[in-house]
Amino acid sequence: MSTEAHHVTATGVSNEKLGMWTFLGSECLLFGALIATYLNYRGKSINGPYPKDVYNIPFTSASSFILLMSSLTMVLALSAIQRGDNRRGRIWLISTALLGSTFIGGQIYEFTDFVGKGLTMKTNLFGSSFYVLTGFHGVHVTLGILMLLATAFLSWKGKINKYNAEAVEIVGLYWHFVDVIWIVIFTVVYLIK
Amino acid sequence: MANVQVKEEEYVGPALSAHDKQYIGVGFGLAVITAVEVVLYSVEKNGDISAAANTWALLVLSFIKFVIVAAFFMHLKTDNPIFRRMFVVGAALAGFAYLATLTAFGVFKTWVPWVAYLVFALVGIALAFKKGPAKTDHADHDHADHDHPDHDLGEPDHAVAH
Repeated sequence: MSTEAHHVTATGVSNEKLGMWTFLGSECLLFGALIATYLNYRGKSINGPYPKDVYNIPFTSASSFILLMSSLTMVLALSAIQRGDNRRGRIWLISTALLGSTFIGGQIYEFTDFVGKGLTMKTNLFGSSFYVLTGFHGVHVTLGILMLLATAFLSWKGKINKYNAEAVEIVGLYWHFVDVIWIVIFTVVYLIK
Repeated sequence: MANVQVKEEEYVGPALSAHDKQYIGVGFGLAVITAVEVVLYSVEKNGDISAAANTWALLVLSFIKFVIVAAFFMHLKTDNPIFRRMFVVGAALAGFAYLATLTAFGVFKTWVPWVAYLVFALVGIALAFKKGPAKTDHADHDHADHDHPDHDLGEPDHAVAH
């Protein structure tokens, strides 16, 4: 039995989870500002390369698919740990981290390719707003990967189990959030002309 | 969160629960929608569909994907309504603020973005405030809570681990 005190919160929900949702709300504002900046500068570059010159939609679609599937493995990890299947939970957590790493690898390849085509942060308004927006997202995914690996390690050490699976749920909320933000970025930045 | 460290017991049970099968179905649906988005992009590139129609279709599909991930993977559909109300109202207000800013900068040539915003915001708010049974934390994870040692304490339903 847990030796920690349990208490009734004013809202009837866990403070930690409410805190994570509040944090995600502030993240909406951050990414909203970056997406709005990209939209504001879109089509205003006076010199190339322009989006149509550099985008590789099939490649980015594959990356997006990988990130979407990482959300699936994340929710399967939470489900496994909640029912006491810690070993399978860790496998799903590490799978999620690997899928996230693949996405980041794809982003590094994409950035390298774009720089090779002459698009840098300083080239034009498109380059500045594109790299800041997708770069910030990439940093969030990287932090998420570190959180996933730490969670898998804590589970392996026996510190995370079905009795305190909320820790996994909170990491999962963050991970799903970076996924939904990418859903918006992929459509607004890459697909809509 | 309770900081409980227990010796790892060998798990005996199914590899996938009923919830997991639903999650896999949702993941498959998301993959299909992504494929449709890419097809729409290619179709517009070939000039088979107008840019406006394509933009609308892509925005609607993106919104559907967003709602599906938030509802199922982030558990907003079954979790305590306070989370989805907070998230949807916050997102709607943020969307309004940024749309107003972009309009002030003269980014939009038509009212279409505002119409799209109103449709998405109203649908989101309607879903968030839809009446349903009040649920406490983890109410959707019955399978996890059956063995929770604190159930023996006879605490009120709204007590949560801290």
